[in-house]
Formats: sequence, structure tokens, C-alpha cells
Amino acid sequence: MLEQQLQVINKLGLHARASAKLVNTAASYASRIEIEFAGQTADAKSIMQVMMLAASVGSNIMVRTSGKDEVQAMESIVRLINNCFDEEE
Amino acid sequence: MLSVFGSGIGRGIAIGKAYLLRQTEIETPRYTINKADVTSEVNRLREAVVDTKLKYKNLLKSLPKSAPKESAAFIDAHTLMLSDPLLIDESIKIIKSERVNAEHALMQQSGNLIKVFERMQDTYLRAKKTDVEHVTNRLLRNLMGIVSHNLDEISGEDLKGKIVISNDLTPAETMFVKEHKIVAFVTDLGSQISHTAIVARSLKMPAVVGLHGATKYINDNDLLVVDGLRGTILINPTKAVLKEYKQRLSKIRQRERHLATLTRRISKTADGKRIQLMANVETSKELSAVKRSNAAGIGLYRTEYLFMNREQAPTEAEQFRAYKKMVSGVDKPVIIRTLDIGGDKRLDFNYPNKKSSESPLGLRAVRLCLNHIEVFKPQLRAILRASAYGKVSIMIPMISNVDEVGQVLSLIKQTKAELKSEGIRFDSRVKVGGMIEVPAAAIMAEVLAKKLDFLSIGTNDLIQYTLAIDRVDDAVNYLYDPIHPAVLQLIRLVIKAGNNAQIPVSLCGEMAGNVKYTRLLLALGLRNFSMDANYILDVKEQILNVDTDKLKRLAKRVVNADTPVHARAELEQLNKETLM
Repeated sequence: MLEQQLQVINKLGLHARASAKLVNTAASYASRIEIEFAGQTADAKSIMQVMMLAASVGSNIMVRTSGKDEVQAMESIVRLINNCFDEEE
Repeated sequence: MLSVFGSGIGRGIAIGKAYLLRQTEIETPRYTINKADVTSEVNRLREAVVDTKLKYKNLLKSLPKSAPKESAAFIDAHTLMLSDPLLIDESIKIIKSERVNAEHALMQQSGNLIKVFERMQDTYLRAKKTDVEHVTNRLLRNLMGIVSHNLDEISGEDLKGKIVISNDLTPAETMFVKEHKIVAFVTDLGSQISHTAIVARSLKMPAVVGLHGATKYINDNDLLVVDGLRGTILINPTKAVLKEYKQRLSKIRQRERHLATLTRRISKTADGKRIQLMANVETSKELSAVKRSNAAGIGLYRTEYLFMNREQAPTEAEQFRAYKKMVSGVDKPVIIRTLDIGGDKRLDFNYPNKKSSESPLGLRAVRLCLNHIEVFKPQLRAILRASAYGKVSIMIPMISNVDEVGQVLSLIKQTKAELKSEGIRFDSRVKVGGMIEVPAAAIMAEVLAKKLDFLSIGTNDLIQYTLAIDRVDDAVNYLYDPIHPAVLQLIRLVIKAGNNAQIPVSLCGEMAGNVKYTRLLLALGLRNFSMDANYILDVKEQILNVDTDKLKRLAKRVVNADTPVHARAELEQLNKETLM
């Protein structure tokens, strides 16, 4: 299992569009992927759970991946979040 | 054959089959099921999920190229929510444990989720409960076999050639209409000046609005004749009547061909006065119509349409691209109006003072912008940046006092200084004008004219505010009158103020594109008209054939009339006597 702490840096936080991108990315890996924020844990493959974390800009979140492709999964998720979900500005 | 009457829009005639949009609230039933039926109930829900998913997929495919790219992301998020275990698996658990029908289980679980969203601190995320509601409603409609009522949920193929019948259309929905090949609208609500009407006009589409419930006489697939000029709808007309209408339709097409021959003629009156005819636009998609009409430029670019049908405001970069596209696409002067949000022009996303802005007397347009610089500033930067690519002017909507002008001007000055220090190009001589839409501004036009580079009279709102009529309120619509002498006197006042200060005055409301008023406005001294590009040639035809010297005496009688009825009679006289 891999674990990495990250900060949400895009302006609107994990809103619907960003959550959708996160979930789509997570869904392309076999590993179990979890996001933890403020004592809540969400399955990164469930958009409702991710949105319900209500992680706004500046939130420190924990990403956990476990499974065969956990390394690649972690890389993709980290890249997505650090690139502000490829949103403009 | 049955005829119903309402308020007609456009001169055209449309013949086509009716397509009814139903706007019923969904009432979900609750019933218990036998243990043996649990599996089939669960399957019913699963099938609805699969089917609704497919519909989203098709919607994604049919999305117009011009749709904001957020639309696709929106649909994507909804598709994911649709199959989310938190919504579906939990609903299935409820079906199993409580032995209830799928609709009820879904409503219950969706309610649980909505409650969680409602408790969130972040206003943006809190608003996401509407996404859950949206997805739930789609699933419910699928489960219950209810035909959807939103225009965006119906495929373009189904609407092609159809006449859409509905209670009302929102400005957001009307944006989709442009893509579908709908031939006419019929609505219960609305008036000559509601958004549906304005959109219908810009699409050169006949419409009949304000039917007050008469749509109930129309059934799906009835053959209809919609006559925009007379405001009538014929339901299942006889063969003879249909033939007559087909003939009228071909006459209308003939006239269009005649008008096309005027395109290259210089726009001046018979006595040699040059009149500038410009176009009103909402998106760059209208550029081809603008070019076809040979307009002298864009007299009103309504930027708020860039903010509609999406879940967050466009960034400065996106706005810049849109403005630049318009400016370089038209290659003639472009007057960009700053955000005129509010009133009936509603946005999907939350913003401060949203509720107030939606009242016609609330914190809307420039008031909202000045109270929320964080919204206004990116727009000003984007417009100024676009000014490097053509002849751009900035126009401020809904000014009600001179201080507002001072504030906007200093904000523009400050923005220019920032751009300069960042080394970003812009036109330093960008002109700034104001819209005269509030009676207070019209009365103070002399003072405003000294501060601004041009004035533009927005008659739609000027009439609304002068006569104290909410434009969207059907009940007072009969009082809405462009030639109410009070309105005409204010228009005359503004034109005079502009002339005294030697700055241009234009008129960009619906009045500018209505040939009934062309001569009257010329007589009042108006030299700049801005209208929907589709009406430019009609107005030009009027201009080419009129001697302004002969108008003055008769126009005075219209403006000085005691009552709107007298004013109307005098206007008819004016139009009749000056016919060449």
C-alpha cells in the first residue's frame, strides 16, 4: 500500500468537475484507491463519496492506493491533483 | 380546425407538427412489494440506470460544437453519479430491507445524500445537491416512463421541423434551440419582450407566446400553422387554409430575396443623411448573419451569454479568447457590454447577491459588478486585452447615477495601468459609453454625456422602468408600450443631450429593429441603430425611402400626444403620410 499527503490547489477544490476527473482516473486502475480528508475516507471510484469530502482549496488530503498497479495509480492521481485537474488558471 | 390566439412574434409563418414539452412535477408512488418480486424490482432500477446512462451518452454525442466545454464535463459528472454505489447500491439495500418500490427507495436515498450536501460549509459544494436532484429526477422519469421536459434532454433529431409547445422556455433552454431545427415556438407564458420572444426573433423564427393555457388544445403531432404576424395558431387546418398559408410563405421568401438586393447600398436617407446600422449579438456564432447584413459593426455584444449554461464563471483567459474571436471575426467596431446579469438572465452557478440580482430592481448589471470587483475585474482585463485586436468600445449597462460611471472609469484606468505594468498590449484609447435604461439616467443624460464617449438607449429596460412594468410579468404586459409619450420624451431628451455634447447616441433595444418605429426614431434625431442582424435590411429599406425633413412635424404630434392611444394613431399617420 502506498500513501501520500497532498494539498488541493485548484480554486474550487474537489467540485463536481474535478471529482469526475479524479473518479475517471481512479476507475482506470485495478487498485483500491482512497482519499482521506478531515477524518472521512472516500472511495476514489465513487463521485458522491469524493464530493462529500467537501475538500475545498487548501485542504490537505491523504491518498492511499493498494493493489497490483498501486504505483501507477498513485502517480496519476498525484499528477492530476498537482496539475489542478487540468483546469484553466 | 381550431384557432387559438396569443401574442405573435416575427413576421414569418411556420407549418409543422406539434411537440409538447411537459412540465409536470414528479410525484413518486410508494408501495410495498412481495418478497418474490424483490429481485425484479432491483433489476428494474438497474435497467433504468443503464438506459439513463445511454441517454447521457447520446446527449454527449449530440452536444453542439458551440456548447461551452463545461457542458460535456457536466454530463460526465452526472453519468458517474448515476452509477455511484452510494446512490444505487444503497437504494437497492432499501428495496431489499424495506420491501418498497424502486422509485421510493431511490427518492429516500437521494434525500439522504442531499441532506449531507445541504450541511456543507462550502457554498459551491452545497449547491451540488442540485446535481443529485437532477440525476435522481432523470432516473425517476425513466422508471416511471415520464417524457422529459427539458429541451436539452431531447435529441435534435426528434425536434427537427417541429413546433415546440411549452409552458415557458428559460433563456438557458433557448440556447439549445438554436442547434435543433425547431421551426416555431408556442408558449403559455411570455410576452413580446420576454427572452423567448427575443430569441425567436433573432432566429427569424415565428412564435406565439402568452397563450394563457390555450396550449392545452394542442396535442402531440397535431399539424399546426403558426402565424407570427397575427399571433394565431391553426390546429389541424383544412386543406384550403393550408394552401393559402403555403402561398403566403412563398411570398415571404420572395420579399427576403428583394431585401437581399439592398445589402450593398449605402445606408442613407433620401435627403442624404448617413445612418449607422449595427448588429446586436450574443455569441460569435451570429457573425455570419452580421456579415450577411453588411452591418457597420457590433453595437451591442451581450457578454452575459458567455456565463450561461455552465457551473462556474468563465476565467479571464476564456473571456479574452471569446472577445478576441468576436473582435477579429467582425473586423469592424465592436461595442462590448459588460456583464448584464440579473433580471430574467439567470446563471446556473451561485454568486453573491444572486437573489437580489434576479429582481429587476435589485443588485444587477453594473451594480452587481461594482459590488463584486472579483467578477468585474477579469472581464475588464479580458475586454481590454481584446482591444489590441480591433476597434473595441466598452459599454456599461443599467447606469442609474453619475457616481457609478466615475467608479467604472477609475476601475478601467486602474486595470489599464496594471496591464501596462505587466507588458500586456491593449488599445489605450478604448472608448467607454453607457446604457441609458433607467429614467434617472435619461433625465441626467446631459451630465452623463460629459463623462462618457457615447450613449446607447436600451429601450427594453427603459420602457420597463419608466412605465413600472416587470417585463416578465404577464399580467401587466398590456401596459408595455414603446410609444408611450413618456418613453418617447425620454428618448428625445437623451438624443438631444448627446448632440449637445457632440457624442454619438445609439438605440439598441428591440425598438431599433421594428420598422414601425424607424421613421419616428429618425425624426427624433437618432442616427445610430443597433439591432438583431436579421432586421437590418428591413430597417435599411425604410431609411432609403424617407426624407427626414418631412417627418419632423408629424413626429412632434406623436411625442406630444396625451395618451398612448393618440400616440399610436399619430404614428400610423406619420408612417402613412411619409410613404414614398
